[in-house]
Amino acid sequence: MNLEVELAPGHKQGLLLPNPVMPAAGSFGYGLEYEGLVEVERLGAIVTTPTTVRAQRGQPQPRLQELEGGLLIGTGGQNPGIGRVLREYAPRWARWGVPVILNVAGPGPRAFAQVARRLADVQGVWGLELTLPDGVESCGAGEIVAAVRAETLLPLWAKLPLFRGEELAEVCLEAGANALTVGVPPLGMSIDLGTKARLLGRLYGRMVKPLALRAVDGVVQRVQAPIIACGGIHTLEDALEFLTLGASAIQVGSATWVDPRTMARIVEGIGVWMSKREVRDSK
Amino acid sequence: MLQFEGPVLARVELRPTLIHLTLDTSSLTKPPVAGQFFMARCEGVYLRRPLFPCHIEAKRIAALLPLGQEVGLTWLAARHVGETVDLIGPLGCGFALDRPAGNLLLVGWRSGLASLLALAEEALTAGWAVALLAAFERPDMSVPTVLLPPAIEYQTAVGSAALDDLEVLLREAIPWADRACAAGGGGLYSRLAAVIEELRLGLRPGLAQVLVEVQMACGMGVCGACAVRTRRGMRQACHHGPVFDLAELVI
Repeated sequence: MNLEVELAPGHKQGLLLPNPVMPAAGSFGYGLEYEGLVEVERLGAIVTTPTTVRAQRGQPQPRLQELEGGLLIGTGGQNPGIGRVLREYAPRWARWGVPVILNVAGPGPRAFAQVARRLADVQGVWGLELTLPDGVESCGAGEIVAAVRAETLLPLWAKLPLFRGEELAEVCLEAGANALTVGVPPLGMSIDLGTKARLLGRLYGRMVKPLALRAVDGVVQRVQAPIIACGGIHTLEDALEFLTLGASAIQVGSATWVDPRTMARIVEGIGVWMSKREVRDSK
Repeated sequence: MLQFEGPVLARVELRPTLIHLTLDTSSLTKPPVAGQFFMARCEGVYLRRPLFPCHIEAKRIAALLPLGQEVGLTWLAARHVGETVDLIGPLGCGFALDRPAGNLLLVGWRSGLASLLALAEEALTAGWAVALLAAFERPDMSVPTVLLPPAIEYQTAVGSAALDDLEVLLREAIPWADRACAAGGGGLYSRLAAVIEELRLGLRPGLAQVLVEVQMACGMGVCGACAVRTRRGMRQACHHGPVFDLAELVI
């Protein structure tokens, strides 16, 4: 069964993935951390941890609160910075057959563009996913995408804040994005009643799925571009819901922490599902 | 590191609220070292729970599990012989004892004692003289004596001032120790650092190792939840630790 999916139509080289299943940014590190547990070659792509131009130390503890069916986690964007990432990981990526999508984060167009500039002549990076800041204005989102587009010929995905997909989708495509990821997990907060310590973070887990379904549906109705759905996907059925809505591919986040076999199971299940659908449609 | 189903080989109720669970880890090519952990999938909670062995053999590990304190660990503690537990591990960096063997001081507080029991066994086998200082808020939280190797010297501090009493014991023991290893966190490490600074004229690298207890989400070093401040920057307890040199930690 051919599960290939093109996630940069109209782009000169295109971005043809072997299947539509990949990790969500931040859930899978830089791809090497799960070696031995997850066969990366069975995935559609690897999407890296959001990476900034310089290393980010992140926020102090507390960083985590477990919730029913999920978690609130806030790292403050901790990452080693693009220089170290390229030194430590890119040589391995270049030897993999699986596409690696570098997720880029930053406060504004200049910071995004600086990361993109570092990717000239780097082997092993197949495309970029741009995590747009939560509070970005519509014109700011366009400026970020345009600034990166001016620095690189690589395929670009814009990852939209979950509740602002419909607002930002068109401007990102017009600025040069080849596909859209919906979306950046919603923000949340918790307070420790004893210490009064606040945890500012993002929500992950099953409770995000209904929000993501609504957001993906809104964007699918609005634009003609590949949509990569992200939010609360834990099972084959979850993935099929998004694909049925019109998403071209799906990303798995915290479900991998619960069970590292989740993505491989979904790939296999989609294959079976498509085979059955083909048989049914041919009758 | 593997993901595997570990069959329960034995379940012993040491106390009404404390279970000693032995799991088959023969799927592993190499056993863990003390201070390493497994991420165990538990029903009733979303995230896996870190499981620190209190006893390690070539093809099995044992863990001490409290009943009724936490949903995930209570579920684990209720597993019976023949059932299996979904485990990922061994993970992280454990305690490392260099040579030649000398005097090893173990200092434990609360749940951290489990890893120290496994370390005590490793150290005794390697020829170290081992003393264990343990503090508990209540007598029913103490280490059941059946789990203590006979060759170990064992002293306890119990009650609401247990940490203060432990510090008194520490002051007596630190001059004797060639190495100190601690587990349990919660104010213990700053006291240990202060006593070493004072009695050993400074806290030099290599003298003391501590197991940092911080809530983990992935256990694989990707999520960033278990970040620990060290003199070399932020480190992930699940990947770079959970055992760190005390001199390296920013407490």
